[in-house]
Amino acid sequence: MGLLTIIRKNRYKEKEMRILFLGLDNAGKTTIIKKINGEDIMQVSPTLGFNIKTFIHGKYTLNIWDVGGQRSLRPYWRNYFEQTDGLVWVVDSADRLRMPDCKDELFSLLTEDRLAGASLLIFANKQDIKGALSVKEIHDALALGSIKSHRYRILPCSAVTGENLVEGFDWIVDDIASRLYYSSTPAAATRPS
Amino acid sequence: MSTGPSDYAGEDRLISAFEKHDEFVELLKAFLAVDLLEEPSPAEHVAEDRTLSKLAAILDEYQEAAYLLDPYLDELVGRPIESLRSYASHAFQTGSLGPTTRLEMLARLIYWYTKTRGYKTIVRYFPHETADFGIALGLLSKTLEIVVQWEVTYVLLLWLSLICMLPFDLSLFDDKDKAPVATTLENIGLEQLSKSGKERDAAAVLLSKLYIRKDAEGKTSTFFAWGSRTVKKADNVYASLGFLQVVSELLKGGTHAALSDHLSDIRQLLNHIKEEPTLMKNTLIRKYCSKISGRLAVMQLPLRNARKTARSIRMEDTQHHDEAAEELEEHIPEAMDEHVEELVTFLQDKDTIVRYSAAKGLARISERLPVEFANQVLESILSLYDLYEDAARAQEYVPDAEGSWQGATLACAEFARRGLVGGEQLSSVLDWTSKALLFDIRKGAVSVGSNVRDAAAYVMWASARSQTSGSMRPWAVPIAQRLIAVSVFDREITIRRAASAAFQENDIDFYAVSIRRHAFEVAAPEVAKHKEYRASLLSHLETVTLRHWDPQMRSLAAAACRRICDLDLSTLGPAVGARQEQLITHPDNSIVHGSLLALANIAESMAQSADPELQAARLQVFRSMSKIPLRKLQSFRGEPLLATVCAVLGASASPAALNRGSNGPPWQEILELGMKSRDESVQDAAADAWSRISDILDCEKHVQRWARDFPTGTPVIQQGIAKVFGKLKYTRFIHGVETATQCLSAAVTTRGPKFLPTIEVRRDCFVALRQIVCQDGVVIASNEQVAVFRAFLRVIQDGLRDYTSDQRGDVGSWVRLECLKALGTGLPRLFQHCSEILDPLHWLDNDELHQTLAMMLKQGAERLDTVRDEAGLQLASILSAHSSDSTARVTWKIDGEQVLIALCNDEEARTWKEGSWFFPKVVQLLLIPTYRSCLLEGLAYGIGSKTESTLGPAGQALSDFAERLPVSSSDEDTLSLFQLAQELLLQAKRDLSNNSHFIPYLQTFLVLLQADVLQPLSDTEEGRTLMQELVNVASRNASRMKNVQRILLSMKIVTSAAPIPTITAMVLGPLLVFLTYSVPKVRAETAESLYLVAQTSELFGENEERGEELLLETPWLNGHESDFNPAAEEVIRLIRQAAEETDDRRY
Ligand SMILES: Nc1nc2c(ncn2[C@@H]2O[C@H](COP(=O)(O)OP(=O)(O)OP(=O)(O)O)[C@@H](O)[C@H]2O)c(=O)[nH]1
Ligand SMILES: [Mg+2]
Repeated sequence: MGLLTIIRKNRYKEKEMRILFLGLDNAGKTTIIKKINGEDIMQVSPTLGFNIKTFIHGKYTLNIWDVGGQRSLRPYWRNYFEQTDGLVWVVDSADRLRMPDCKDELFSLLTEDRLAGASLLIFANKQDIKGALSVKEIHDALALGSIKSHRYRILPCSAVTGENLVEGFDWIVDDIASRLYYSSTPAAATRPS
Repeated sequence: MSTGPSDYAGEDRLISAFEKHDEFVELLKAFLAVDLLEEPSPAEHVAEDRTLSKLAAILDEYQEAAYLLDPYLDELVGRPIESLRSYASHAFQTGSLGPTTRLEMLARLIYWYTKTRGYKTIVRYFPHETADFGIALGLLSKTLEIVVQWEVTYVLLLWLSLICMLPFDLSLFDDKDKAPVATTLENIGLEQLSKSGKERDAAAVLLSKLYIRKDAEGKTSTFFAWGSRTVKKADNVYASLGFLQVVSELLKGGTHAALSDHLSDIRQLLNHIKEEPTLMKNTLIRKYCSKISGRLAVMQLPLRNARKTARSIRMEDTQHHDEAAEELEEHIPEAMDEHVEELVTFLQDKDTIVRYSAAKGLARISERLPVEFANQVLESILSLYDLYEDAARAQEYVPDAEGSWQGATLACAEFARRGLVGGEQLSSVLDWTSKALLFDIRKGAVSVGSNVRDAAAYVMWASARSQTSGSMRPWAVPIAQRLIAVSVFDREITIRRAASAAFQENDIDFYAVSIRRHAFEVAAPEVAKHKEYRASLLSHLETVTLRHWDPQMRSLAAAACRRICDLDLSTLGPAVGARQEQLITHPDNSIVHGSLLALANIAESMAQSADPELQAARLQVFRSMSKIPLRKLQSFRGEPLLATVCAVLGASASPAALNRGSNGPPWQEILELGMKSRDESVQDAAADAWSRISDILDCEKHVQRWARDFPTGTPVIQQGIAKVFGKLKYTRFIHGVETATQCLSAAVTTRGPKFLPTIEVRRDCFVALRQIVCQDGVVIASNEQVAVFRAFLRVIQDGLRDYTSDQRGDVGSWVRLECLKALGTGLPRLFQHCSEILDPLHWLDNDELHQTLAMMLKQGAERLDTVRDEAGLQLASILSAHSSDSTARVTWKIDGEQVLIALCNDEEARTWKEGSWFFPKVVQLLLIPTYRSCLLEGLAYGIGSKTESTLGPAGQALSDFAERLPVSSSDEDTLSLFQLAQELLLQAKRDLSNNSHFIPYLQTFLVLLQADVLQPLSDTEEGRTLMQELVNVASRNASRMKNVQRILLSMKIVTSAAPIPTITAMVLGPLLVFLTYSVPKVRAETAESLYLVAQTSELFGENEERGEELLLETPWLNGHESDFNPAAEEVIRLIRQAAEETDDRRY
């Protein structure tokens, strides 16, 4: 367990990130992950359980945990918090009715000790649907302005068109990297204002 | 702790991709192509097991770079898991278990993945549908009812630990008739948690996933009750360990509702365990206690900064801490002191893993503490250094010093890594760490402290990564200097590498420091070219490495010292010389030794310069040797000092130094002491010194004296003198070279009156003779010295026949090796200079040259690989010198030159060691009469060294060659089979009573007979006579032989010759002798051998059945004379009868 082993281990760890996808059911979590992976998105059905996907993004290996969002499943979300580097909160921008529900669930996550260090990306999904709320509107509906505990960013996107998906991943990966690996990432420029 | 110098390169081969992917996937396909539900046949089992081993071996290669497998894990893990799942679902559907052999192999493969890449990564590829729950649990329950390999249990437990994360109430999976699933899982988990093997690890993972669940909350109480009972009984270390593993896992992520009720239980149980010696003996128990203690403490502290996770290594500006400090002060629980104290104790544990875990715990706690508190923790860590500072400085071995220093250093590193070291403390941390970088203590024959040095490099590395460059700036230079010194001068390869890794902006190539010598002699001077590092490197060498307890380190340090001084010799040389001279009166002999080594090295450099100041400094070095009392050099274990003083004297000798008038050291006495030392390296050092001096001073009178003393001296003294004779330079002064060579030659002249019996002395004499004869312008090319040269060749012929052996084996080979070298150096010299010589053929005539070459070929065909190889190398240099000098080419014509050259220059660089290549070629030289006799002798010796009838490449080559020869020939020049056999028989008969001579020939004949090569001889009259003689010679005095090997060989020659028509009659007599021999083993082997011969011949003619029956059924081994004598006689009668019938038919 000498220094060389530590350095070696550090290198692996620096290459790996664990990202947790959460959000209400039907928000589009599974669809987003499939889309960015280039898989068929027509066959998506509600997630009864969880999926784990591993893929390479830039120079990092991402471990994506996607857990079903139905109400009965939500109490179990905490089983997946451990060692989470980034949280992606997916919102169905067209689902105006459940915005309050969405806000409550998000805020209860933010008090979790074990998610305290994680970067937070909010995907305002389904922007392709007519009448979807804008980023600004969602920002207000979810009271994101009151978040003090986390660094976050909100992005409009669509799992169907693929709009902004890559940008979202870029941001969260860079943010995690800049936080965890101070001396090794020059990409720290893409920080939110 | 390391057990010795670890100098090897390439241990860290850089792998950058999963190059073996295709190979692996092929193997995997084959491995999975079978039906798991079938029991493999034994042959299939072996084959599949072999495939599995290959797979495992490939995975092992990637152990250190396992992440390279990541892109392929879907494929690599997916398929085996799929097989596992279909096996499990079959068992689920049918309710019964099939054969498990293949399941077990499959599980072993999956386990191997987890071992290589970590279970956390691998488990992600396991399926986790709701249906999998019943399937996996069903299989696990079933396999636990029978006995299966532990890997099956391990893999299934891991699988269940993932399935257990499903976000459903577990009661959904319950079966009315059975116990609730959660209970079954828990029971299995607890049972496996007491196992000593890896199942325990997997069970701990499973249970922690189970207890984390909301619907299992009620279960934690039962678990803690179980844990408490287990720990208190303290009779099962593994169960207690398992309990701790689960607790530690549960505490990892922070607070769980499930645990909050049990925190005080955990605390109490920890206290309990610490009082229980049977448990605390176990390193892992202590490690988990330390880990849990740290986690408990962390849980009780609020997060100080949301952005700071456990993985953060960033240095926050310290002011941020201050702001929050006051408000948080009251939140610090009182128990914190206890935890810190506990961890500081674990930090000094005797095992590294415990210390490391305590170090991490302390750093994690401090991360959440207000800055002053964190500083206090660090303070108490630093105070551990004080405890053993004296020991570290004095380099004395004190049992606990290493542990405390390493623990403290690891903690510093973990603090630094998290950016927790600031301001004032940075300087003390770096200060201590600099000392830790040099922690190297000797304990017996091993070095203690490499892990302290490694941890120190870790601190440097972590500091460089986390400190803002501003706070590090004042330290940058001293740290860089220290790290560089360590990275090139440390004793251990890993430390050199770690230090060079820590020195990030390195000038030092990671691989350049892998080999110690290279690090010292190449990398160090390279770095020292940069002026800013030069002085510190030199000072490190002078104050640390030259005083190292390991003498090898001291001598490397001295060499490095010289290389660095060379960069600016006129300044550095005299300065280092003056400093080191101060030390030669030091009471500690290792320090004196180091300084002498340095002086010798520097004087060596100064000798290259004419600068008067350097010459004055060099003279001073010589004179300073008078400070060393002779008695110190003669004392017990004074050899290294004596050798080094000799080296200093040689390196610093000059006309001024040796001038009689000057009152310098008693150099002659010292060198004579060195010559008489029992330690050969001291003798060599003395001889080297004489070599230098002989260029300055006429040593004739010494040479005469030594030559007089030589014949009556002890072997040690004789070796000392021989070494000096060889090293003297005879060009500037002639020193009585003839006296020296005569003295040496007489000692090695076999049967001469002055021949010396000690093999080492004879070896050294040959070395010396070669050195003298081959010295430029001394013997060769000086027309008066022809006699010396001829004498030299004569004794070499004697030496090549030296087959002395003792309990060490063929020690004569040392002499033969030296003789080969002497020829390989001496003859080329002669060829080069032959145009300056009046009558070259008088030095060496053509016959003598060929005789010499033949003897070299003989050595090349013999038994010892080293000798054979040397013969080839030396012959090669003779041939190349001959062909590159035109006069030599005209003067001496070499027979079969082309064949010889081909033997020495193989395109594929094969050497004579490779028998299967060499022998078929060399036997062709038997066609050349000049080489035949000698070469045949060598081949016989080579063949004779093989045991019994195994046919080595020499025997194979000779029989192949002989088979193609004409049976007889009319002219002298064409070699016939008859001539070959005749020559062999002639050589064999030279010394019949000497088994070591005779047996190889018997062996050779047997090889030829068994290859059916000699049989055609029986067709001619002269051939029959020869065979008759062979049988006679082989079986002469058969009944009175003592050596079993010889008897058996003789017997086999007789039995092998028996079926040859016209020979049979001659062998019947000896055959009867062997069949009725007094030694039972001989009778039995004779019968067996005859039986084998009868299988492939017409030995018994029509009575084959009866003959074979007699051979097989007679109690040759245990029977009485009355049993086997009549049988033997009948056998003989049957053979005779068969032979007569054949003869009748013939005529
Ligand atoms: N138009 C539109 N439809 C989308 C988009 N993203 C997802 N959907 C649809 O929304 C539905 C739900 O998507 P999922 O990916 O299953 O949602 P989820 O968040 O994984 O849901 P749970 O697994 O139940 O938590 C699917 O029918 C998708 O086709 C989008 O960007 N635009
Ligand atoms: Mg889904």
